[in-house]
Amino acid sequence: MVKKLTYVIFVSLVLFYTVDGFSDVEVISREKAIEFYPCSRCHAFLEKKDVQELKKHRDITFRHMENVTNCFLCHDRKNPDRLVMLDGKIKRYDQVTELCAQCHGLRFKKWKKNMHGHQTGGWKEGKNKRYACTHCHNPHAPKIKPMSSKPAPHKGEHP
Amino acid sequence: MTKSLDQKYIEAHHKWTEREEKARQEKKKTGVDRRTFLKGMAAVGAASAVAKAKPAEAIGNLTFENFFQKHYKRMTPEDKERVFKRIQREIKQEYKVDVKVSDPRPLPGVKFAYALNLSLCNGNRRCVEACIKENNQSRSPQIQYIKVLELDRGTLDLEKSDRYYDGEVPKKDKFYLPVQCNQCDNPPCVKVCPVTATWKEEDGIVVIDYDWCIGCRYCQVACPYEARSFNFAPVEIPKDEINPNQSYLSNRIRPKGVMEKCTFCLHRTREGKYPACLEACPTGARKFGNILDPKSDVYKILKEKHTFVLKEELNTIPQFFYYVSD
Repeated sequence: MVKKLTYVIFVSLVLFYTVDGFSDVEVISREKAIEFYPCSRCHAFLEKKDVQELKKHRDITFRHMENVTNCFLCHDRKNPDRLVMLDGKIKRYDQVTELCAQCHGLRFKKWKKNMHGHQTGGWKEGKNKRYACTHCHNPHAPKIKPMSSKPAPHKGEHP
Repeated sequence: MTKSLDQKYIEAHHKWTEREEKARQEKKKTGVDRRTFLKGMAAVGAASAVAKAKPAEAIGNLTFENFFQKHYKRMTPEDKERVFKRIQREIKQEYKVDVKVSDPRPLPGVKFAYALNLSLCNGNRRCVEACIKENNQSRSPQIQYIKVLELDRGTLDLEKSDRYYDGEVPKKDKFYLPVQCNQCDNPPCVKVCPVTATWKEEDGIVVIDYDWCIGCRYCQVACPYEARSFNFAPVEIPKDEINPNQSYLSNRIRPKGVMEKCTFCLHRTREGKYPACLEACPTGARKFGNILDPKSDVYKILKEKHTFVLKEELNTIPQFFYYVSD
């Protein structure tokens, strides 16, 4: 009886994680962006005082959540190359979607189904790669900025 | 000093007439048009009856092979090979570029459909630029398959749309509606073609045999979406911007005097890739896939969202769907 029950639980868990059609899609790596200049290059060796004196990251304007001034809500305090979830779990930069999903659960659900976000490669299964949240949205100011449009068609020639 | 619009039009007209004059003079020097070619053929036939004369290899732009080429559907594989070689040779002669002309056929059990999210599209025209490069479209005079219309929010009157907007987008109280070929299931352009140069393939894409097209432009008039455009002049492309991966039915460099249209980049999509406009879109508004596959993006969108098509009342049954995110 117990064996049967454990079997059923195992199967249902496996189905829960695989049926959504998410497991077969590759997410494009985010860690490549800091490959040559990882955060730990400065933050692991400098003391707290020095970091404040250097006055780096002043160009970052935080327009994500109101009344949040703490960087360590998302960035890990001990290892600067890692992110931290609200419950204290450590995540890599490649797993940033899980971090965003803590608040934006509905968006995450849509993103998993490829109804939100951008996918490249091809429409056939197994060929495609998906962009992570932070490819398009700047996490410090996630609203997408207005962009310049490409030149308009010529007025006389265009049929 | 900025020129007035009238002056610009007059200048453009002068340029146009100059170019036409040049072309006419060149024709006088070297070539023959279709009618005189036929007369010539009769003469050659008569001459060859008397003595074994060499058949005329090339007269102007019109070659023997070109003139007696079969319709695409009646071509055997050997015919196709010969024709593709001929096209490659001609492009090499004219544009000095080595290209590969292929012929991908529709995949079984596949029907393509497109879905576009209007609340994400911000009208940046990256898709238009990618389309021009991918499909070897003429830069001057311009031909563009995708027309991005700027409309006031709350309206859908296509006649009051602006397609010449410029500058930073999105603008306040505006939304953007990209229009391209809808690959209709009941295509009016196919019905009106007097020579069957255009037809609908099994995977839903409406294609044109550019060598069979006579350039009557009936289809341009019949299409309610302005999806078809006519090559008024020889195609002008910078040499380094020519896409060498070409297909007979889609993006090979078109001759003068034929129609052309969006083919959902069939040389890409039939090999499992995405169309060029989707790859270029930075907003993720475009979704493409096989509508017969329940796992595909388009299937899910059609199932879960309220989609609409343009000019539904015309019963063209488009395969290009618009929706808004909630």
